[in-house]
Amino acid sequence: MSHLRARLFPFLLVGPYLLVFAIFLGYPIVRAIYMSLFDWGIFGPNAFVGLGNYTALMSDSRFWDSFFTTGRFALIFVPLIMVVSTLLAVLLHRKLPGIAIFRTAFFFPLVVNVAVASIAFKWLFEPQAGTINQILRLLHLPDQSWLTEPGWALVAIALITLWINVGFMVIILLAGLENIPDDLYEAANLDGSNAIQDFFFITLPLLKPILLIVMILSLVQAFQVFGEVLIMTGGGPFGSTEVLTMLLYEEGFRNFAIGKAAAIGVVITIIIAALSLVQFRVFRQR
Amino acid sequence: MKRNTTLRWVILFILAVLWVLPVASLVLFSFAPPTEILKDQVIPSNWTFDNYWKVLTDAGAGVSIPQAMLNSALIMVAQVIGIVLLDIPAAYAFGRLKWPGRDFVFFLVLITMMMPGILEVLSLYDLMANWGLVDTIYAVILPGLPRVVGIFILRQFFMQLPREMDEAARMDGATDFQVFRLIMVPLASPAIITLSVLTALYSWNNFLWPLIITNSPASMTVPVAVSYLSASDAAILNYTVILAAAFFTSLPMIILFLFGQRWIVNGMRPTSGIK
Repeated sequence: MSHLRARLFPFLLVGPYLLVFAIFLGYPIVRAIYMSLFDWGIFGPNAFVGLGNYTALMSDSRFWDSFFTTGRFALIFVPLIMVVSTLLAVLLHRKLPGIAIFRTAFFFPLVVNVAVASIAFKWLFEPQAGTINQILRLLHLPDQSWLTEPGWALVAIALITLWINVGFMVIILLAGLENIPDDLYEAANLDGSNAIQDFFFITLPLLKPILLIVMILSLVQAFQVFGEVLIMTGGGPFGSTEVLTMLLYEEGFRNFAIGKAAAIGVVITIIIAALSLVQFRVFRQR
Repeated sequence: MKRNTTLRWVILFILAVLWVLPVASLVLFSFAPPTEILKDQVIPSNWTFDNYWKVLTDAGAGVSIPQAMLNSALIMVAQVIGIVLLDIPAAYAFGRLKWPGRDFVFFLVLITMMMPGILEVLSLYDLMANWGLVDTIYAVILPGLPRVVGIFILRQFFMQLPREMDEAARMDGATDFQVFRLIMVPLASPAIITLSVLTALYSWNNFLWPLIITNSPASMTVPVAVSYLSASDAAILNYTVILAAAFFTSLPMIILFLFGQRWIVNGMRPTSGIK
């Protein structure tokens, strides 16, 4: 009797969580894949179409446009956040007067939600009254209409996504820096190395596993960026910021082409998984 | 060495100013009369509390900010309690007990962290429609409960507690449940606080799902209400009120951050070795 109870004990503990997990996370994911195989409208499934939604996407120029927009966004955002977060982590790693205030400045966007951050940046980039253009005019530089200019809008969204997320990456990198023994730097300094050499020959090589994590996480973020786009540009101007999640939202919740939207969701998931796997392989081999 | 320190300080100072700039500008103009934004100025020349009065009484766009804050507060309390109660026993079972299928189930749970949230949203909407919960705060609360991050943080913590602790208690005749409830849970309190703080943040700030499932002021959460204000046709006339609403609704999280920065930072470390 007590033996049976001991065997059941783990399941009693994990059971409630797994039930909730199955209903609100497992089931919706599986069902989204299922929905992607149907012509699924606002009133439910119309017809089974197999991979029809996927083949339709392949010949849909709007899909490819937003695919390449997302790719461009990742190409701007991922290197940007990697460079900035590494720089910040290295600068914040050692003691400095006022370091607690500096850390707070970079960490506090973590508690600001995407709607508020988007409003702050929309205000900052506002063509007439916005602070950025005001400062540019003070410096006698040409001002821009940032969010309504196809070339700049995606950059502006990369900047706000950087602003929101950099603190998280810095926290991860700081944990990595703590694991590099101080003796290495001391030995190198005895041999006359300078700060730049320390960074390139000690810090970077030893930080590689953590940089891989940061790269994968930021890539996942790049492919999931949504709220910033919805609030700041709504996908415009002229579709220049219509990323894949935005297209999914339009198709699923505005056009009610739910089967198609589900197929886009599955494609996003496959892209993220594939890119993560490739990076993992490439980094491990070196 | 000395020169390096000065240089580091200067670079950090410049970057920190840039990082504070968006919010500083937002806060400054949230205290300005609406006409101030038409003038060429970085700092407003007139000041008023009118915008905040409007946030509390009539923010525009058919949105009620006090109601949204009440909704968000209720959702936050429900999710913090729900997630902590679900995650503690489950993480303990994953991290410290042996049972058939454990590693496979844990793998399944972890892999969902890689999935984009927008994938689940389509069928979650159907599910909530079937249950008649569309546009209610219950529909916001429920899908937030299986937070995988919490399982991850607590499991990591339970795993690093020394084995001798439960062995000694068992020698004294404690049952499995007593070991869990009387020894392990109290020891895990730092991890539980971390999880609660992170959950509160997630709950207050979550945007995508509440945006899709709520559309009336009675059930709208704070980020959704703020985004409605920003998207309304009258947004341009209402700009300073929107800025005030954005700042005012962030205050609870800013206060949480000022007191709980340590917990937030520790919870986000990759190993979550809560020190």
